[in-house]
Amino acid sequence: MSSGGKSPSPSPSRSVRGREWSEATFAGDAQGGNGPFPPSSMEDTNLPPPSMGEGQGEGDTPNLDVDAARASMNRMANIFADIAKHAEVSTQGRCPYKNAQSHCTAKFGCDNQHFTKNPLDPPICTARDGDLDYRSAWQI
Amino acid sequence: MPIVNDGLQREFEWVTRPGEQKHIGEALDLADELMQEIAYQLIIGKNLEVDRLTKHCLDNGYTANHILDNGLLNGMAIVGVKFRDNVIFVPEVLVAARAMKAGMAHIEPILSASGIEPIGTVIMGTVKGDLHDIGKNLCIMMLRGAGWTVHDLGVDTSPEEFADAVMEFEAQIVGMSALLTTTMPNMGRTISYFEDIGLRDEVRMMVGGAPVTREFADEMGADGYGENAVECVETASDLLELQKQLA
Repeated sequence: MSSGGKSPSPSPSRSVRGREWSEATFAGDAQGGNGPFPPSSMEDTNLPPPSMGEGQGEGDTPNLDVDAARASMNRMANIFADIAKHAEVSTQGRCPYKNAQSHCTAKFGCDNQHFTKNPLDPPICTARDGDLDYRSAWQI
Repeated sequence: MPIVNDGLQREFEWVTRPGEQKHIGEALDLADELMQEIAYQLIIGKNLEVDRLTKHCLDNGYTANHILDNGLLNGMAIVGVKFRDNVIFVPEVLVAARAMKAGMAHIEPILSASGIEPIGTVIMGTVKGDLHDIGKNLCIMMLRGAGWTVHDLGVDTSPEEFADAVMEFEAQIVGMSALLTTTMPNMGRTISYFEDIGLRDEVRMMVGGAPVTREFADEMGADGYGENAVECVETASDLLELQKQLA
């Protein structure tokens, strides 16, 4: 259990552009914030006061260390940027509407949709991964 | 503390690269039970739970920094790893991004109060007659992740709906998506509608979608074109600068 009190330390900003997949993307360096000791249950509201950042800067509020928040936002942008880049690659050979259970999530018809006997079940995608022309099966 | 959330422990087992195991593991060491629960609920895409837990934590003294880093971003980092390693795919990522948005809805007012304002406001929609939304949704995920406020009008969006949203939310940018060659002209019709009602100069308009090209975008009078979700963010940033210069 972490001993509460310190807010995350500020860390250098990162650029979204020009990054490749890297372990650093998902690691971040803005970790280090220890919030207040958690409640014994979700409903317990008898908590210590909010943690304060060490050496608060301009714009900081009792509930936010601005520099650390900016670093966190940069980390979030980097995570999403890498996801978007991978989406570009993965959708070249796998329909983007096909989920991990091979169900079709599209809200339109597709020739690759296979409906089971249970009308409540989502359709199964019958397209093979690697098919580059899955779009031709989409119905308007 | 060690990972005590069984679900999160199972999810963390997808992180197999030593460097990532170390870094994400160290980050999770700073996450208490509630933060671990937020991370887990985000990974499995439970937006209502993330919404409830985030609000609960803020109401009970957790800092926005702490929730952002140790709950939301820890969860999203594992989502990114699973996606890269083809454990999950685009639909699961978008569901997790929706859960992230639910948590950020409580964090963003605190950011704004401290001077971290959204970069700008974008209206996004797939044009009239078109029901394909996954590219648009990826763009929205990227824009929100980069700090934009995005209002998603969904699919089959009429020119009137785009215009109404621009006025309601005082957006600087409109993003239109189309996947079908048959619906692409509706981008141009939307731009013409903005001209007809005198709203064209108030907003920059960008377009994208699989069949859309830069030439087509220029031809129909769009201000910007993005080939993919990453370019969408770059285009939006460029257009916002342009809009500021014109203002």
